[in-house]
Amino acid sequence: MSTIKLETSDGVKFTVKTQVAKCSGTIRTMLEDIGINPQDGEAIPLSNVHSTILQKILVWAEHHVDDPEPPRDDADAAKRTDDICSWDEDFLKVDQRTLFDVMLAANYLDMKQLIAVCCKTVANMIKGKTADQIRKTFNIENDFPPGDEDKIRLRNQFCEERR
Amino acid sequence: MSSALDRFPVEVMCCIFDQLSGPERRQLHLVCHGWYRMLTTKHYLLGRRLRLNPDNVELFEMNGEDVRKFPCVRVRDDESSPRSVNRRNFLSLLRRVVFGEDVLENVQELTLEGVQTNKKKFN
Repeated sequence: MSTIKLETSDGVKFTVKTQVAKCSGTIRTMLEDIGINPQDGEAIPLSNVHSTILQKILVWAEHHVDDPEPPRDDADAAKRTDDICSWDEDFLKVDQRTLFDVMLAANYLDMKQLIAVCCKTVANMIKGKTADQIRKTFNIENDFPPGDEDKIRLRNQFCEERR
Repeated sequence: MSSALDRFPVEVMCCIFDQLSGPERRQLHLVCHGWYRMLTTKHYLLGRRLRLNPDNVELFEMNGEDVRKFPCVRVRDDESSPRSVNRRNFLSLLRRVVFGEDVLENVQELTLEGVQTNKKKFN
């Protein structure tokens, strides 16, 4: 089975099955379009990903390597956040920092399915909370000038969302 | 104090917001200025509808303007009509009171309901 080497931001080298590495759109492009030849034994540098996070992402990719391609632009699929499979749910039971690091790395690596499941997880952390509770959950500063919140509340009173 | 979410690019934040329903998203406008900005881009506003009825039209007075002196129910989507002056006045008032100008341009549908006659709609 063919393998390739990946090198993380902290200089750790991973030997990965090519098929697993290709879960990443970024790596797939490097291999197929740009024509980086991993047979040379040279590691592909992933300068935005730390080894602890890559390790975690590779576990995910290994588990999902045989998943079928998701349907494109499925409007209904985007609305559900209760359809996270139990394996992914366990996989993402990590502290907030790790979850966010995985999301950033998945974004850099262009792993759409992993990003989607992470976004659903974060959306579930948001659901049912007030603005104040959300700020506390994510350590967000309320940076509205005095009075602006009332203006937004007023505007929202006139509006409803179609979707 | 900074949030770990500050590191996320806009497209990832929007991917999160997209998982939520319209009413759930509306709650997020009040979280911080950055979220408010992201949630009032075209992508989200195209799904919004503006709704006026006798209950919330009263609120205009809070801003020192009385919208009821404009004949709302006669507003027509007809530029050649003499009444189009009313329409323009009405819309310009809406712009100032309800939305910024950039925002109103992105509202697709305006419903005037229950003032005197049946519902009238114009785009």
